[in-house]
Amino acid sequence: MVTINKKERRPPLAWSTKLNLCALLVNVAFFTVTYAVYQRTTFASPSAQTPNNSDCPPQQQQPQQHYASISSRESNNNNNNNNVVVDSDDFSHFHIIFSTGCSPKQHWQSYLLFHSIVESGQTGHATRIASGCNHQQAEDIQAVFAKEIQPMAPDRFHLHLTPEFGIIQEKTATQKAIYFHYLNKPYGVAHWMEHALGYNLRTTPTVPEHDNTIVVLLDPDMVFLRPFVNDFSGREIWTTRTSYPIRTNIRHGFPMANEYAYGTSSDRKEEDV
Amino acid sequence: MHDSPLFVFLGSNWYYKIMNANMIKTIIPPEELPSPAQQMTKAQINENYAAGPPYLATARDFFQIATKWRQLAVPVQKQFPDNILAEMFAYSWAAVHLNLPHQLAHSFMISSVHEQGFHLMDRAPETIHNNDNQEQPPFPAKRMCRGIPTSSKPHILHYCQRYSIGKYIFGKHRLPVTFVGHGEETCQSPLLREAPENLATLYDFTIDPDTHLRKNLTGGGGVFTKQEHINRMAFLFCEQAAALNRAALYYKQQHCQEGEYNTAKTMIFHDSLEVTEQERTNYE
Repeated sequence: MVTINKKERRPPLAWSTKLNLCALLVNVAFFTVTYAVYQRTTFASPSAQTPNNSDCPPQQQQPQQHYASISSRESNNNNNNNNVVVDSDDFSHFHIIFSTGCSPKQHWQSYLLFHSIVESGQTGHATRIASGCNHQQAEDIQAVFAKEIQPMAPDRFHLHLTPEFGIIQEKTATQKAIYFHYLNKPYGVAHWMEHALGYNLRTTPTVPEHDNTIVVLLDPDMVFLRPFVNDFSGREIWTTRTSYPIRTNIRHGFPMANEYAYGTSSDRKEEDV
Repeated sequence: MHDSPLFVFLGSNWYYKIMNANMIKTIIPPEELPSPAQQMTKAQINENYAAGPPYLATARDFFQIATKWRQLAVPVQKQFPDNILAEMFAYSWAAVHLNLPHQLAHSFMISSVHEQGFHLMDRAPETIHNNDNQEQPPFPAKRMCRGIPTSSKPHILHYCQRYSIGKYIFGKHRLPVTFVGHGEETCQSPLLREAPENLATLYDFTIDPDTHLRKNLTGGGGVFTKQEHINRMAFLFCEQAAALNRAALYYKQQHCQEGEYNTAKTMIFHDSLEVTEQERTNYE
C-alpha cells in the first residue's frame, strides 16, 4: 500500500518538465482568454461595450476598401498571383447566428431553431444575438439558455446579449419616438462580431482564427430542413446569373444568399399568419 | 390574406429609388464616393444583390458587410420609412458598395408555395443543378407530407406565413408561447395534431379558422399548377408541425418529470377537423 507523507518534499523538477509546464500554462491562459471572449454573454451599457463608438448611431467611419474586381478575386483564390497572401483553404466551419429581441415568442422560436440545428446535423457553432433585454430579462434568458439550450450541444451553442439598437430617436416633449426593431439585426451582428469574435474595423479587420468560418445569418422564425455544407455542387437551384459564373462554394469575396426577388407587386415581408 | 405571391419581393427598387433621386450622397459618406454601386448595371444588381436570409459569407467578409450594413441601416431606413424591408435594402446596399456580389439561390429557403425552391421536389430534374446525375421524377402528392428525402428539401423553412390545407393550419402567431421552452406549462401542453401522409390528396381548399369561409388552393397563373400548390402547402404544414412536435417532445423528455408530460397530438386551431357542409360551400 502506498502512503503519502505530506511533509515529504517533492524532488526538483527536471528542466524539460518545467518547460512543459510553462508551455501548458501559456496554452491554458491563451485558451481561457479566447474562450472567455468567445463566450461573452454579459450585458453592459452601450458605451461600456463599444470599443470605437461604433454602436452609436451611424457616424462617419473609416473608409472601407472596396473589393477588387471579381476576376482578380478569382485569381487570388486560385492562388495564381504570387503577390497575394494565400488564405488557409479550410472553409468548412460554420457559425449560425440569428438576431432576436427578448419577447416570449422569440424564446420558443429560438428553442426550435437550436433544436433543428442539432436535428438536421448542421455542424459548427450557433449563437442567439438577443438585443434590448432589460436587467431581469437578461438574467432570465441567461438562466434558461444555460439550463435548456446549451445542453443540447455543449460548447457549440451560445448566447450574446446586446443593448437595444432600434431606437433612433428618443421621445421628447415635441417629438414622437422613432423605433425600428429591425435595426437590431445589423447592429447586433456587428456587435457580436466585435465583442465575441474580436473584429474591429480599425485595428483588427481580420481575425485569423475566425476569418474562414462561414457565418450564416438567419431570421429567428426559421428552421433547418437540410444542413449547409460548403460544397453546393449537389442539388441546388440557382438564380440565373450571366454577370459572373455560378459558384458552388463560399470563399473570401464570394458570399451567397437566398434570392428575394420572386414576386409581383409588393414589398410586404410577412403576411397575416 | 395569407398566401398571396408577395413575400420575397425585393427586386431592384431599393437600388433605383436611391440612384434615380441621387440620394446616394445621403447614405454613402462623401469620402467613399464614387461608390461601385454607381457603376452597376441592372442585370448585375438583380443577379447578385437581391439578397435575403439566409446570408452566408466568410467571417472576414461578413464583418465588412456588417459594419457597412450598420452604417447604412438608419439612412436607408429614413429613405423607406414605412417599409419593413428597409434593413434588407441596407444589407444589399452595403454589399453593392463593397463590391461583394452574392451567388443567389432559390433553394436555400422557402416560406410560401410560390417559391422556386419547391422545384427541388415538384419539377423535372433538368430544372435543377444536380451534379449527382441521378434522375428523379417529381414527388407524387401522396408523399408530400412525410415522404420527401432530405436531399430534395431546401435548407431552411421560414415559417412567416400561414400554412393551411383543409382545416389543418399553422400560423406562428396562433401557437401558444408555452408550446415549447416554458417549464411546467410546456410539460402539460399537447403537441400539434399531425396530418395524414396523403394530406395533399384529401383537400384542394382551406377553411379560414376565424371566418370559417372556404378558399380554394389554386395554381400560380402558369408558374405552378394547382396540384403543385396543394402539394407544397401540405409539405409546409407537415414539416413545420413535425419540427415543432419533435422539439417540444425533446423538451419534455429533458425537462419534465418522466411519465408526467403530455404527448397527445391533439392541438388544432379549429374546433374540429371535420369540414361541415356549410364550410364546404361558403366561399371567401
